[in-house]
Amino acid sequence: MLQVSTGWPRGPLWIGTERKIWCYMDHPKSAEAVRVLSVTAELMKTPPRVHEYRLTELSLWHACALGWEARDVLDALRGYSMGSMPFAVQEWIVQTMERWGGLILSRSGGRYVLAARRPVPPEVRRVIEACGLSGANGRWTVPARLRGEVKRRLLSTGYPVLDTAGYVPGEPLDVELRTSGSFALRPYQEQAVESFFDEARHGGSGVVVLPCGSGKTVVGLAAMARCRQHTLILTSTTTAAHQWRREILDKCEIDPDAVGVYAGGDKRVRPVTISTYTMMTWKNSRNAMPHLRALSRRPWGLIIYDEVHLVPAPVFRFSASVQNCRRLGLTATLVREDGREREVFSLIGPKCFDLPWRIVEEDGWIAKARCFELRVPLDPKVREAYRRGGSRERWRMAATNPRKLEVAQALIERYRGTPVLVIAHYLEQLRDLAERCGARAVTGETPEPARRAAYEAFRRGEIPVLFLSRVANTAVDLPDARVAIELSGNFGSRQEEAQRLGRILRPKRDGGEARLYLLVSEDTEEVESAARRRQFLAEQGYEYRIVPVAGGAEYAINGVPQ
Amino acid sequence: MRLTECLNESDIRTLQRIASHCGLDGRSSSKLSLIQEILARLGRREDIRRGAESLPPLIREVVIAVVCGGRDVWSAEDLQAVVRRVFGKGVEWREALIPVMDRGWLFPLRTERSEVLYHVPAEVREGVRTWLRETCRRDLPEVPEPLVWKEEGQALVRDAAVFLAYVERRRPPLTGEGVLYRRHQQQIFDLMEIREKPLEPVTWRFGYGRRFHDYPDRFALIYDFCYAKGLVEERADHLSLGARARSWLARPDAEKWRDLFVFWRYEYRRAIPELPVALIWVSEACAGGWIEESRLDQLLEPYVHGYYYDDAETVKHRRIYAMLVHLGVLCVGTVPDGRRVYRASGSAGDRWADSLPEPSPPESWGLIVQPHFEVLVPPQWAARLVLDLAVFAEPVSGEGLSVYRMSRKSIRAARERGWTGEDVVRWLRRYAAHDVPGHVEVQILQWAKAP
Repeated sequence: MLQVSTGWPRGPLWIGTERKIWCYMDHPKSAEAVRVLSVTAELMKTPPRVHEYRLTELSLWHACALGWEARDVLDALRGYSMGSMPFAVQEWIVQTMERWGGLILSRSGGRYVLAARRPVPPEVRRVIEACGLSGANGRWTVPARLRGEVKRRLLSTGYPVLDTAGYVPGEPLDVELRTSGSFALRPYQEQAVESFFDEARHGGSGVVVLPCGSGKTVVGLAAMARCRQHTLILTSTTTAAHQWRREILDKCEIDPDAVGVYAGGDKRVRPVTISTYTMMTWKNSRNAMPHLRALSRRPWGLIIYDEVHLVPAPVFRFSASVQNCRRLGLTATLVREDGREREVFSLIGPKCFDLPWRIVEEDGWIAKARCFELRVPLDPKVREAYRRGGSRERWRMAATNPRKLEVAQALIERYRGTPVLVIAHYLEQLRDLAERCGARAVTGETPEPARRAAYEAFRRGEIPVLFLSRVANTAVDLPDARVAIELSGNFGSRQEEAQRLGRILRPKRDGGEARLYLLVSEDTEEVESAARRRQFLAEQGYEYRIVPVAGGAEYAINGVPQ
Repeated sequence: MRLTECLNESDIRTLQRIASHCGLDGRSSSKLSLIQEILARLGRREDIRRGAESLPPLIREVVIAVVCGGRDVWSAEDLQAVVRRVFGKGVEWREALIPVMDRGWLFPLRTERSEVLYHVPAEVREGVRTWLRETCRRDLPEVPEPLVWKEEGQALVRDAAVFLAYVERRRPPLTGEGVLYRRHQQQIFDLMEIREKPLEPVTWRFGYGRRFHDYPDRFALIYDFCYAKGLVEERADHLSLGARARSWLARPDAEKWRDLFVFWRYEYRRAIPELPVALIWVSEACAGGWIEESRLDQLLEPYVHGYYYDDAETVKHRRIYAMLVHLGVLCVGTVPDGRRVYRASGSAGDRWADSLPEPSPPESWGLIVQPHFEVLVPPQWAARLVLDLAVFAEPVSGEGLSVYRMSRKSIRAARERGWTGEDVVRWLRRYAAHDVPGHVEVQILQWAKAP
């Protein structure tokens, strides 16, 4: 091996002619460079030594919405680059970022007007004609019902529209944040709300990206309290919806009757209505979506999309029709498994606030976490079947590898006395392990009250280990879990991984660190998909230690290689 | 040599002439007091600057050429050539140089073997250089930093290596005229960091190298260089790697760059005889920050003329500035109103035009073997390792950073060329900055072994 000298090149980045960027993670400046890249580029691959990013149109426009200009991006990248930046890439950055603000939607009199700041290229003209807009000389009238559709279609041709047309005020709402007592907005939450309302920069609708566990809900509440209009909150699960209601009543001065969850037996629309994506997209026998229609007719002043990365396609259509309401998206990740990032951008809004995970952690708002990927050998009994199996079966066999249970048990044993979460995708595997430990698993089949009771017991420390199925993927509030063990997951879902890490990130009373263990069967396809899972967290600056568990689990627990 | 030494070695008559030229009393017969008086008057930078200003134009040209010629000792023949170039034939060169010698700027000194060599004192060289730089940038309008600019660094060296690796791997066929087919040219360009297009059929193109007629500017330089140095050989119907290619590639990049630069200066001097002086002006003018192209043109006015179908502007812009950008010593940018601006690049030495930068020891961090069978080669290693890598890995084109991918096919191909799986693994371990991932090693061995 060559001696790695201290003579590092001046920056960790190599910028390729096709807009790929390689970041040398061993370089002393890599952490700063990653911060720049998290604003300006998308993470593609994360092998241990050198990560691969790519500059995309969307990534640059997000940077624009955060207030970056072409010169800022160029200077920052030049500053961390080890060589010079290819000329073609520099030009592309300038041209792409110039398009931001080139098309502006505004309101003039009672009408919406789309104005072009410079001559529009033919493809834009074609879209405008296809939408049937009338006008000339770079000014077109946009019918209110097409406001979202025009934006969506122009973005898909590569031209973002800066929507400064403002909003139709909703019904007023009497609400105030409770600033007394122990509750106060954290500085970054305040900044997030500020940037959200900054209409000049991005139009006043957008997505706030904050790590799991850093209080996204509170940002939503603060936005509602500042807007003081009827508010619709959409979340991913009923549990999360109830939790939102609890939070609102806890942290806001508001008439309790004005806040309601639109679900189950009680489907009343109230000034603050909380519903779920599933409820919204529920279809009746005539294939219509009655709830979506009922809710879209109300004069909302603010719509909050919790977990934006989970918004289903029909809700985008709904969003296109409510462009005259202010829209706030909340998420820990803009990465969508279905690649619909462009819809989020054009119909909900660009990223208007972003705080890398690591920074929140350094400031002590979330717990420090270390992640381990434990490579468990495949059980000899299933190895033969694995070799012969089809890809689906192979996947399942790798995920439910019986040897994982032994390792997980050893881990639980090791962390006796600390709250531990065990999360699995496959129910029988989860139940197996729960049984071995003499406990019961919480799954989707567990009735809501029993689920809540189990969480409460865990919170009070009555049960030390909580076994969770996929219900753990969405917003459940489990305050003091310190260790999470992942038995299996949904292929290579990046956002699932982020959610699971989020479960253990709430600050610990003693300031101690949290740990995430991901169990992966060695020499199987699972290794590949685990790499994909790690991607999002790597983007946030988390690094996994990969440890083989050949002899026994003991060595691996502390990440000591054998 | 310093001024003191020059004076010490001179005879009393020379000293008296210099003294009286400086306006001192030149009749003194004490060598020591003469030297002291002259030193007090001559050694000041301000005086040298003013002296340069007051020289008659033609003599000033000679002084610039001599001072910036990259050496401190001149033979009579070389000086004669300089004077002849400036004054034209029929001028007695010694006479022309008398005013310079009387100033104490040039000392004819006898060596031990009784041969006369001409010395320019270090102080004079410094002073004239400073004056040059100030003249270039005097009254220069403030140029704002452009938003984007081209800076090619040592891409020329790396692309030359890419070309050699391609020749080694493919032995590309040649047309009847000994030219690469367009298709192969295109393949080569696609692998390069700085891309060119094969030439459209052209009528007139000559004067800047052997194959300038057949290839675009930058590649023509790379090709002619490789051919002239024996790095490639033109066979009857194909191009093959020359015997010297390996040893040349193994040298540090800075040396390779120096070879290319010297070769370029030599080749282009046929069409631009005053190129060395022109380069000195360019280097001084671009040293202090961005400068407008029109201003550079103005400075080069006396030295650069049209060449057949290239008018003077084209020669300056395409043959000098653009090539200096390719050589990595200049950056070119465009300011908002569309004018081009230049400055010296970060990697260029202060005096690239004459005294070439000393090669710095290479940084020794090695290449990176990724778990997905890609090998990342840091830029300063790319040219040196290119031939070996090409044996067992395929270059992944298009990004500038050398990325190679190993596959079953490439490892099998290596086996045919006599590399075993163990050889490949050993080679990777030798040059890798970190451990080679275990499963990559195992896979390479398996690929190499399988029938």
